[in-house]
Amino acid sequence: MTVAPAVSTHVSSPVSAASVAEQLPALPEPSCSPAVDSTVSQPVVPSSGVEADPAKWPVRVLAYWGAETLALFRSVPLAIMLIALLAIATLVGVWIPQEGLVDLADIKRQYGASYQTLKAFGLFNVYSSPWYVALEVLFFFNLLLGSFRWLKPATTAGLKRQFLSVSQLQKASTALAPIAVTAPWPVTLEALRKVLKKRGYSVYVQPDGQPDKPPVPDVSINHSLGETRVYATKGWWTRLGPAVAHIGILLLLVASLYGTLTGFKVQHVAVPGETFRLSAADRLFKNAPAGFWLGQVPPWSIRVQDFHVDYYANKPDTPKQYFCTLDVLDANGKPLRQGETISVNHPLTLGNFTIYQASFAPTGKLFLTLNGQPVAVQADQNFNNRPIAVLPVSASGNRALFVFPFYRQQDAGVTDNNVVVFLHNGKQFEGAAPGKMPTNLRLSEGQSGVIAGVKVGYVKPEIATGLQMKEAPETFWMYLAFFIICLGTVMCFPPQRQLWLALAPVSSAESSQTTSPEVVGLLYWLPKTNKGKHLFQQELARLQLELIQCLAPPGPEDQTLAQSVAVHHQPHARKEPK
Amino acid sequence: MLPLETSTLVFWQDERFWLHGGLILLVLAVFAYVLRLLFAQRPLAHGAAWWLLLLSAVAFSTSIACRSAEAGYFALSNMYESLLVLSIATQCLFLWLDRTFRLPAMGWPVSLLVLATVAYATTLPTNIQPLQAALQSYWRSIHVPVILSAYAMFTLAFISSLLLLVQSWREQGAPSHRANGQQNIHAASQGLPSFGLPLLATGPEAAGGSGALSLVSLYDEVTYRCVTLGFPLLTIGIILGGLWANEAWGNYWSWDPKESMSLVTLLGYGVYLHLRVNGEHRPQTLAWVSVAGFVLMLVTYFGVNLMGVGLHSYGKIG
Ligand code: HEM
Repeated sequence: MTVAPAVSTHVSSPVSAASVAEQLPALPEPSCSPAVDSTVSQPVVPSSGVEADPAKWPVRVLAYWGAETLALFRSVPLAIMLIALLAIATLVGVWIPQEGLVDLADIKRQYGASYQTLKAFGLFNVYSSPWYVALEVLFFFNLLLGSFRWLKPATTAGLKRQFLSVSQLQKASTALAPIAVTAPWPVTLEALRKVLKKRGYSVYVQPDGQPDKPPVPDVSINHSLGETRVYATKGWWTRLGPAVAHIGILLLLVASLYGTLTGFKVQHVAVPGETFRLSAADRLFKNAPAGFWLGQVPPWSIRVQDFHVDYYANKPDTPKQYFCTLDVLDANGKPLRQGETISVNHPLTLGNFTIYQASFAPTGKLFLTLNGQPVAVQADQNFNNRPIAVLPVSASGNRALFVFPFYRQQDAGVTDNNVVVFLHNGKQFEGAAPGKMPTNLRLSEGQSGVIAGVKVGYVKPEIATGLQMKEAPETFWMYLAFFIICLGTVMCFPPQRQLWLALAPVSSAESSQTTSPEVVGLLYWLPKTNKGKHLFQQELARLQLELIQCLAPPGPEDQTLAQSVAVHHQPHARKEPK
Repeated sequence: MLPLETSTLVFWQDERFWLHGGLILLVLAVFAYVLRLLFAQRPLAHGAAWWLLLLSAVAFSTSIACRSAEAGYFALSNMYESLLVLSIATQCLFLWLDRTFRLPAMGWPVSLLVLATVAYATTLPTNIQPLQAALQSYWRSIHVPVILSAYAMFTLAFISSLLLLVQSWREQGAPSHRANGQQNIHAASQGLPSFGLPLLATGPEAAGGSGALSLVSLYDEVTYRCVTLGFPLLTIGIILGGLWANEAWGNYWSWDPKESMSLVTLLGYGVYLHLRVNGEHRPQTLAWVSVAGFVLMLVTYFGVNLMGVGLHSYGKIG
């Protein structure tokens, strides 16, 4: 790079933003790639001790093979492949119906003869199939080992406060044109600091090769001060982003493994009044296969006191919310919690144990009154494929009520829970005639009526509550991992920008040859960003203008905008004794 | 469209007034963006398109606000509302991108796509439904908008990738352009219709100071920025969904198709990010990966709903 013409252009003529932009060379490509970092891409070689002894060649081969495998195992290309494979495997689980989510009979019908083959490959249970788990394990170790290998240097590279010498900067192909400096070093450094600070950079100075020594104030022109190096950066913390995100993912994987090994899940459908022990509930899922499971089911029982459903007034078949009131009892029947009401989105939590309101369903049991006496019947008979309850009305058993239950949500066009009652006399329905509906009675909850002299009332159906209970010892760690992942990925967003600068004195001979005699030094600078070249380019254009104006304010004969800006920004430069 | 009783509303309380107003402004914005391309030197054309797009986003937002006021909950529970909010997010994020990068050539495809989306949304059932119990949670108002903002970023990344591919294809088609690339960009930045594809020819204005870098690298950077913003948004959105599911059903994750598909989308963009940090890849290769990510996103957003299975079936059309 030729220094002189660039300097003279900048110093002697007013500079416009557009002309500065044109002069800026393209920035270096972001060099955060582990592959191009020569310090880390060396293959791992077996130790020299092994090499020296020819008798140990099998060890050498093994060591070499091991090192090669390790290198492959933690490589980023493998990571990319694994991420892609996980994506494809997950996609398979989306397209092929999964056993937990779709009815098994449906799957068998759909796949017919190929069902067994596909099942053998775990395709109906992708996410717990051995090959999916194997992929996750591989991914875990790739990430773990890769973090030490690639992530550490990538992270620390941006955190190092490096200083580059003038000769290094002169050689750098991406360095920008040097800027003329007219003020003594302390003033110049102060100006430089101000300009960079205003743009959000942290500035570090190394005068005469002494790290971080603050510039000495108020020294008049002093060429012996020599070369002074400056490093400025902003957004250095974003370089921690990938490391934070990856640690979060590792933590997530470990926490979910911990949860698998120690947690469990219980589902139970309970009717009001029922008490059930956790360990004896309908379905108890331990997350890990037997023998691997390290947790235990607490010896607790749950007593369901009450359950009810609220419906929307204007949309009677859409439940608004459903509520279950329950007690949690310890092994001795002593209540741990009493009269707690849960509903959808509002579970009950006892430490790591949580009880959720999951669903509800009629059990088929109906509470009725028969001639004023409360009775409960089960709709366990089948009439034209409809479940019905049969309630004998006389001791002889010939006359019976046929009760057809209808439920909101389940039956089309039904806006409340009701029953339709017929009386059967052993041979036929009461009031039956060809082409005519037999005598019947439709009763909503709380209503009663008389059918052929029999007085019946409908109190309510029995509705069971579907409870889901879960012991999740990993909850805290999962939440922590979630937080760390979110934080890390967000931290990756802003770019890190770096500037290496160096002040070099110019001898009076040089200075008079190249440009005006006031020039006492040159500022060399090299910019770098890990992403966002275009925006950095825009910033550099403005920065270059500001630097030119502050470090070498134009003489009094130049009535330019640049001058007024320079005065405004840099009072020190004016005060300085000439 | 709406129950009859809404006819008693004053016009500015009527969501349809704002929806239609927004649509008109959006049509104007499309035209303005095209004009802005053709007459880039006219300052009026610059501002007008941007402001029209902003106003139409404001109108759509007001429409959603009116609807929410009427429904009594944040109106983001069916496909119509979801598409409308996605459109608003795309508009707002593009306004920001345009301010930062000055992307006149991206204006018309973005505003046209948003127009098509809103137009399609209005053909869907728009009646206000009471909320299912599972959806009555403050999580819904956080989880869904965050995911939709991520989708908006990926949509912008997609358009920018397409522009990149078209641009690189044009440069290949006419090697002489590459020889004097600087000049070409300069001409392009002034919006001069050239080389048969005027609407795709333009890049950053020279005043932006980006003139020294090629258009391909500009679109590459815009895509990368969009993905690095969309990726954390989708991550946060999925995690919020997991937290919500844990609160509602006692499961972070149930491998429901929508969940799984969103994970696939996230992994797809993960491939994009890691390809970027792993050595040199041609911008075109990366652009294709971003296009593939967008296809995955579409499957997540529409495909799974159309299949109508799983826990997220509230997003079902109809
Ligand atoms: C699904 C899991 C993963 C996610 C979500 C993830 C996420 C990320 C993100 C967001 C970045 C920052 C990208 C950017 O700044 O543009 C990144 C960078 C990186 N990732 Fe991953 N990653 C995952 C898995 C892995 C694995 C398994 C490896 C194994 C080697 C890995 C190695 C790296 C490296 C070396 C970087 C570059 C860091 C830098 O240059 O600053 N990642 N990752």
